[in-house]
Amino acid sequence: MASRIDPGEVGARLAGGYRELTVAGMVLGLVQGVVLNLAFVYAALKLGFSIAGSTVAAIMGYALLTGLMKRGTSVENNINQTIASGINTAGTGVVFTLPALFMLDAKWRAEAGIGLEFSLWPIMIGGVAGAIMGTVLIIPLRKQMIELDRLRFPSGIAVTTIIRSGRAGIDKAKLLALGFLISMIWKLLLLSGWLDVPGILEEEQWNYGFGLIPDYLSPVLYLSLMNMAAGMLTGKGGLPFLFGGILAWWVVSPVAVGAGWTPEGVEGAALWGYIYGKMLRPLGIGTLIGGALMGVVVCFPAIRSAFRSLAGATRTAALERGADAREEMSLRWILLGTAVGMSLFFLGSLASGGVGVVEAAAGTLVGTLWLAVAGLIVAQATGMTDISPMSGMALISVTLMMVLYSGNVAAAMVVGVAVCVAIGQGADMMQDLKTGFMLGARPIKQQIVQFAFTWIGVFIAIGAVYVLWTSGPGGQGGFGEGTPLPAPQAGALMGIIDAVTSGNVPSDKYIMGGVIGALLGAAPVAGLGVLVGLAMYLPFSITLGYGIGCLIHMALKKTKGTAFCEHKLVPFAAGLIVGEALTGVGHATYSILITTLGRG
Amino acid sequence: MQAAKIAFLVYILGIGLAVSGAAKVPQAGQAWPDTVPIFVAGTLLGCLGLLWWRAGLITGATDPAKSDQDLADMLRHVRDCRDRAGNIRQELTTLDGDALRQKIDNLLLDHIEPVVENRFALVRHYGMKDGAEIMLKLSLAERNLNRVWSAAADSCLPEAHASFGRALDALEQLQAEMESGNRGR
Repeated sequence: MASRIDPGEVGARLAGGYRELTVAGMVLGLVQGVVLNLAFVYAALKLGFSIAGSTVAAIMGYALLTGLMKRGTSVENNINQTIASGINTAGTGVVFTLPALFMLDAKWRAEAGIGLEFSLWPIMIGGVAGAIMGTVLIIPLRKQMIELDRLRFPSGIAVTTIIRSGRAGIDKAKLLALGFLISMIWKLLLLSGWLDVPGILEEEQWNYGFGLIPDYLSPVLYLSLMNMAAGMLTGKGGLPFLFGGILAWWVVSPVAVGAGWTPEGVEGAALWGYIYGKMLRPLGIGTLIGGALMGVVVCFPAIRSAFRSLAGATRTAALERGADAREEMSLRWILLGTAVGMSLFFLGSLASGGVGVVEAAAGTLVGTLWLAVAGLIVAQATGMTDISPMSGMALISVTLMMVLYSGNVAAAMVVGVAVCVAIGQGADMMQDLKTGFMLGARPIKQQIVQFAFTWIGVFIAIGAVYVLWTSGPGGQGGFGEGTPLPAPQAGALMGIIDAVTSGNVPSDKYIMGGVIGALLGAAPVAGLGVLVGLAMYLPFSITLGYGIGCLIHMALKKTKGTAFCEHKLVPFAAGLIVGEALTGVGHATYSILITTLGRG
Repeated sequence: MQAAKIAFLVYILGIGLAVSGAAKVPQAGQAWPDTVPIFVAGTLLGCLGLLWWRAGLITGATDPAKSDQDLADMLRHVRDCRDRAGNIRQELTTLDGDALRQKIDNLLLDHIEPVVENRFALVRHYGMKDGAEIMLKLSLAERNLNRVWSAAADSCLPEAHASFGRALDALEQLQAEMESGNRGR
């Protein structure tokens, strides 16, 4: 795909045109992507979460392309951050799934003397298939989500604000810096633990129940300014998310407790855990799926228009020459990408061992369809709230494939990795395309670099996970419980695999949740099913913080007007997001250094 | 209006009942909880409320006075935007980057943003298919205006001017589509 880049065009740009797809932007994006991928694979194994990296890449791009080279442009920096975050996000899909395979192998060997027979090659093939399919999926949905539905993608707005900072006037730059400082100081205070009061303020959450409000009403607020800022950027459109949380925790939860649907003797935090883990979270996953599918049905005429527009672009491009004539990658390339992705998917499944041709073909078909649904869900959820339900989608992927592959964990994991990489790519690319829209970038150039570079992240992340695992005593056990890299996400996935093996899947919740999601998705309110499903899937502390942000936006819009929100609130909220993201990166780096030095 | 509110409440009540009925964990050895009837009742109630709610919206959308007013407002924004963009083109070569960005900011905030905010009325009036086509045209104009802003900020005025031409073309097509779609009704 790299051959699509026309050296003549690049040369013309370098010679003084408007710099967009340049060698400098691509090289910087590649280098940053590799570094961020390695750093965040390590951080995810240690902390259990990863960071998109777009903000870091955009700031570095601004400093190097504009500050150092003195020639950089906004759209060139956008290409840099698109590549960097694409390579980095491919690693996230790997690190949330693959470590579970190593850990399960070791566990089963210890327990029964027989481990899992698996090779890394099928995983790599599956990962590359996921990287291609995630990109392919998102191209036709760009018009639907960004141009028609107008999803906010708060992180995309924050990255735009960074790229434009310094160009958008001193007032906006000051507001961005103010938000950054406030958020950074607040995050540092929370991380330091200086504000902690046992039972009231712990782990960055404020318990406002004071012993008077029962735990099953979840009287907790997540004190993340980034979360609240995402709500501030969304406004009224995010209110159904708050509504979903209120329905789950202030209606359903007390009904369940009052009607005696919870086990006797379970109280306090354990009761909260039961309601969340056994009732609301699985129901939320079902609702997310039903809501997303119904959303496709309801918006079908608009989606068809978007596809026609792509087909039209293909015809126009045949008549005109040059990359500038095309706005969007053509339908022909999308179909070719789908075919290549599905072929790799099939090969990866077949090569994983114990899977026949028919099973591999069925797995490819089901996996591709599921990947499309999961990608849609994650992209919509990220677009509306900035929160990605990736772990829930990984759960369903592995469950689905273990059933299809008759309990073959290694083969199911190939699909699990592919789906996680794909949905991560989809959400990341949609954020990047939102940034591109706001900067006036050409979508086709972002799509080309996404195709050309992101698969690299799969190899880097798999290599990093392998090296870290074999760095343990006796060439294994380099991460997992009891090590400095506990890999919490992989531990959770192991638990799911154990549950599937023992036939303990809450299918009733998924089915009934799916029906509820469909009913919500059919309402004349954009994204209602996905938002309510996500609110049930997440702890209420997050939903409440986000909802407060939405209410702040609405109040400011009513009292100060739209212009105030666009020119004052947006840069300030973007600063809050960037401040917390970068402080999180800094803290993760610090924690890793401390651990490494401690081990040394 | 009162009926629409009642329909919405029926829908919400149905959803609440359905979620509550679905929440209970099945007894050991059972695949489904014994609260499935509550779930089914809630789902049916929700369906009823949804149909009622949607029917009310259709009635509202076919209210000629309201629909005409919505469309007139949006058409006015598109015409004004195109007229102002036409005036900017006349003086394009005399504007520096800062002045051009200020004018683009004003166009986006004064005319594009109100149409985007009212996009559901656009879809209700033209239907999903034609409404989507119009929104895609509007988005093309908006993205090119954003490019003008970026290029002007990056001191690349030739690119800003070229993008401005593309934005103006898209605005003209948008206006033509909205007017012809309106005449067809």
